[in-house]
Amino acid sequence: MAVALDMIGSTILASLVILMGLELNSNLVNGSDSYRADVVVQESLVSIVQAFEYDLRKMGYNVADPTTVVLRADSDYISFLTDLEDNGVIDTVDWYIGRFITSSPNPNDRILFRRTGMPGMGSSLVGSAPGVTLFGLRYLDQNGVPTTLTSKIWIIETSLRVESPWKVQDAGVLNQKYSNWSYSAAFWRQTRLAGRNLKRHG
Amino acid sequence: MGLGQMILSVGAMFLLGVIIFSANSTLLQNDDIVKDSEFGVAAISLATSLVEEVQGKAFDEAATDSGVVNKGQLTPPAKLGPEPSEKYRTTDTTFHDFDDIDDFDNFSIEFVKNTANPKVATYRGDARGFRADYFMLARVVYVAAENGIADLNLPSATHTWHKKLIVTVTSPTSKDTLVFPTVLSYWN
Repeated sequence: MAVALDMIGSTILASLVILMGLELNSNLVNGSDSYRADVVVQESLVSIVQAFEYDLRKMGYNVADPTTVVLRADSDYISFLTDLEDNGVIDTVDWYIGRFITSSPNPNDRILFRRTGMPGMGSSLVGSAPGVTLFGLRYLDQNGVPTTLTSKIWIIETSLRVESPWKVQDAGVLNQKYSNWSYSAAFWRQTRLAGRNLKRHG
Repeated sequence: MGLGQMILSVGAMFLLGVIIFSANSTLLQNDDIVKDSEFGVAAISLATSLVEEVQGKAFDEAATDSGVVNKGQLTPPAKLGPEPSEKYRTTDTTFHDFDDIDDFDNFSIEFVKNTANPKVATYRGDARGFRADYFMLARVVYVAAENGIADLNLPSATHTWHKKLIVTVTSPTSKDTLVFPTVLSYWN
């Protein structure tokens, strides 16, 4: 009888230990996934912001007529003139967001594109960043008033959100149900990026 | 089960518990670090936005519509701050928007998700998209950087051609306070 009780007790204990081990393993794997997704998303956001703001700060450089710098100013598309290589040749720079990627597990996933070229000679794709779920632009004049006139644009407000393609567990909540998992995200909003080479109007 | 076996079992369970506790603790610490970093990125975007905005303003009220050649024309250090007729990004036609750097002295703005909460800062910004609440405070002081001597850390008691903007961002969800000092100078 005692042996049977020992067997039952040890089986229960072993089951508990195995369950604890599995749960630990699950938490470690999900936590690691979440950590990696967060890091990748943040690195991606910072890289995009650096590249985008670098271009925006050069906007209008070496362009004779500052009122013609911005070629297109939509809420998710900007095209402008600048001398990127400082070689006296004016380039066009386009930043815009593409369509939703239907093959991505994240339904909001899109690609942010950067194209450069020369006015009237087309442009070529020089960069793309997936995982962008929001690329919003607002244009303001030198008084901070929203404007639709490209010749009056002096300040650009940008909002950018990058998300992971896969849902991940919130690493701060252990044993979280899959239905409560969400996409890792990082957000950036630069509300007052003034073009250094754009002329202020009198 | 003998006493020895019982002690061994209890010891093994204790060790396993310690390992699980330690692993969970490490996971939560990692999460804290990553979340802090995420909030930091958003806080930097807010602070640089304000710095950019201030950089676009005139150096002093006296320089908004004409040149300044004498330091005595500048706003006295004790009077830094917005003029009574100025409000930040106002739509009220009886007021003007901030037009010079020192208007941002003691300027505070909050970005909070729950707008039903009472306002802590003077102004409230658009918090859409942010995953945490942020509070931003700006100070403007004169600093001395003349005659071969630069003391950019201590405020100067007299007018100088250099104003230091100090933007501080805090968030209840982050342990760190981010501070962005920028020196803006007047060239005549």
